[in-house]
Amino acid sequence: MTTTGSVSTLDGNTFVVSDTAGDIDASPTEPNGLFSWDTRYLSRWILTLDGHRLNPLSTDDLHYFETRFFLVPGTGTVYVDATLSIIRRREVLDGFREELTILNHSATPVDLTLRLDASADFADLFEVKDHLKKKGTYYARIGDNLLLLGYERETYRRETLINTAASTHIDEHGDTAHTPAAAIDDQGITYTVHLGPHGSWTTELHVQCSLWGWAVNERVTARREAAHTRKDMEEDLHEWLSEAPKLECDWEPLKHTYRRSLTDLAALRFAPMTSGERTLPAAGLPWFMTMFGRDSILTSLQALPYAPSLAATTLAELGARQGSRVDDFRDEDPGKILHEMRYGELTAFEERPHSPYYGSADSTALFLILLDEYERWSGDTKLVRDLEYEARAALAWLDQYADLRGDGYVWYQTRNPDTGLENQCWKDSWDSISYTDGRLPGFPRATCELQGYAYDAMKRAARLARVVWNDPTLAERLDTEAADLKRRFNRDFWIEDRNYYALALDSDGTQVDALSSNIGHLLWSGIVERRRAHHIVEHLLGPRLYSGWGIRTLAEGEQRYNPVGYHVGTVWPFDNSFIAWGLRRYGYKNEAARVAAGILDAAEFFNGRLPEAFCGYDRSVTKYPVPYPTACSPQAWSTGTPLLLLGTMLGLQAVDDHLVVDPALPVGIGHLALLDVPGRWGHRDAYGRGRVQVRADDRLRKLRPQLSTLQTLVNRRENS
Amino acid sequence: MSDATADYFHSLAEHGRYPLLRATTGTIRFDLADNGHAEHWRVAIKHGHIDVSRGGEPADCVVHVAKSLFDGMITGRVNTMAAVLRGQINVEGELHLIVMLQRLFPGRPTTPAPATRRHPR
Repeated sequence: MTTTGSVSTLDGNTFVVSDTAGDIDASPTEPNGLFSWDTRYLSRWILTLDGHRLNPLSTDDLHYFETRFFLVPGTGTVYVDATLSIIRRREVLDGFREELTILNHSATPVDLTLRLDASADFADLFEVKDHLKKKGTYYARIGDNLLLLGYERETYRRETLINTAASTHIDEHGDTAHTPAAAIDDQGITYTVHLGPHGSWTTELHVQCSLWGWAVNERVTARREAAHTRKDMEEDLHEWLSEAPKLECDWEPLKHTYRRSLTDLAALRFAPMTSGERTLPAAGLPWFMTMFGRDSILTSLQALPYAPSLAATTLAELGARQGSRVDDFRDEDPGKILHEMRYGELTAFEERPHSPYYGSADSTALFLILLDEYERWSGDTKLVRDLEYEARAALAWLDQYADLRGDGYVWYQTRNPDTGLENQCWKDSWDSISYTDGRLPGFPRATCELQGYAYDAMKRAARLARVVWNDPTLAERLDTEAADLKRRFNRDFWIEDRNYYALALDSDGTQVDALSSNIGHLLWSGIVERRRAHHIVEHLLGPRLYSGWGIRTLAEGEQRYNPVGYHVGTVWPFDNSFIAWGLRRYGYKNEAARVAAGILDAAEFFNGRLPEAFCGYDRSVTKYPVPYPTACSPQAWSTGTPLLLLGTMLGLQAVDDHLVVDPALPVGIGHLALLDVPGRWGHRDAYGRGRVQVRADDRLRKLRPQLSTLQTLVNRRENS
Repeated sequence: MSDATADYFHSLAEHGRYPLLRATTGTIRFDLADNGHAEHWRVAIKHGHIDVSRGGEPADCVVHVAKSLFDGMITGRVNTMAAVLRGQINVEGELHLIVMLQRLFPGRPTTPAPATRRHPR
């Protein structure tokens, strides 16, 4: 169960969000329902017994795709009849399947009316999120054991098919008998149930989502290549977990967080409509179960030492959808890597530009960074050769299209002012980029981390040009341009009297002077001059940015700072994980361990599942991390965060043909090991040991944010 | 009278090689409906090389679409992916082939540019 009292069951981009009784009762603005391809196929799915709703005793998340609800009759919190129990087992598989079982625990026979209310509003997720109204018409049809709920707008049609099956009664002697079929009306399904003494009754429902209303009225409910069974899914999850490195550690919660992360990452895998079975990480539940350039790339980076196949698919799929033309509505340019793909009604009618939308100024550079990092780990030069054309197109985009002011920086300004994104960096809410005094800069804008990514992308592409593409001329040019960018950046973004880099440049080149977490990404990119790194580290771990749990998106004291503001004061776990990587890159091992410790401590409070963001309150004030109200969970790059933090604590690096391990563990972790880390070296183990003996009561008192001086012991073992 | 559809297919074949499609191989047949009769065009893609012919032979991907809508697709007024999602285009077979080919279609015609836009170096 999650902290919000909702239960999510999912498979790819089909998912059910219900309450703890298994009921869906969506208000227009609640993200409850059965969703598939960004459309809500069930907005009401309520089980009643003799007209009363049921009370949950417990909820089991058996797998991410299967949940079991144990229910009893009752009103409010008071049981009225504990002699009956109802088990509702739901699995998301080709739509979803639900098995209902009623058990009679008494010696007295009973007659019951079981009812499922069903309706579908076919809301596009954007409509749910932005509170919009529908433009089409609804219909319902009743067939043989079938309730069909439909929605039509011109040629657009979506249908929910609810199939009922025979129900069965088993008496106290174990004898089986079929019972009357369900009565179907256009608002639901009613079962008349006679239960003998100690008898049980059971039935099944199958709810399918019709994917597309074709022009010729052909109904498509499941893709041929996606059809799979529950057994397939269990085996797939088992294989996924067994292929990942094993974690050994003397800190139990970390083991739990690790397993949770791997499982959630499996759940968030998603096959775009046209990719067959190849999967890449979708961004997050419930709003973002789709392909995002930035999110898919950053998650793949976090997961490289654990599940390198995600990176390969992400690169191939984003490459196949790379921008090929100028399209202002979609902010598309040749060579640009997409921002977001959507399949719902508003996209279908071009009321939203997501078919796909290209409004992100960082995904193109990040694509190149992932390509290089992937090769360093996997040694898969074939993919790098296959994507040479796309990589060159990405470089050309950075050089020509991204440079809106012609001064050698990456700038953004949407060409779709109605439905495009104002801020095309990872902090994409409207107020995320501001001056210290709260003013918002004009457009175009050049945020600092975009320049860092561009620098890193050029350096990495230069390496690939040298070792894979056999083009030393390109390599030399990229190295020269990168060095020039670093020099200019350190001149134009550095705020002399504050000792940090400006958050952005305004359209006229003025420094946007707020102190933000963005400066941490600059460490990750390597664009920070070494002599300045210590200033950046002091700011990142200073009281204005560091909350005790993590580094805030915007520093305390900035005019727009708000500990509950989406990108203006909350702590984002993924942000911290990349900053920790950056701290390692500049040799700040202990500071990286401190950031890792804070975030992993927070994870413990979220039962191992870090949310998208939590509030920026000081740790000494709240004692526990306060979740951000509407944050996505699980969310891909938060799910990937513990994985990357494990890597930064162990100091994992792929160097030539070797896995380099250089651990620096936070106090509270005595030993840490990742066994069978896959890569171009085959499989290798990484060990880290803290010098300080950890006592159990220290751990209970959570004495971990401060670090002792560490002496690390490195063990490596080569597997055959 | 010039026929936009025929012109488009001819120019598609004339250019011949498309690096965007160099990893793509397969045939697409367009069945263009126009006042009750259908026009068939076959586009054969082989590692980025495109051949165009007329005819109704089987293909890996068959795209049924009104001729007027197709003209919108090849001029950028209609986004192919969106039209598929709203059921105006019926695709049978391998959807990824049309997804790849439509990248050659132009984007939505541009609106007047703001003053600050794009100064290539």
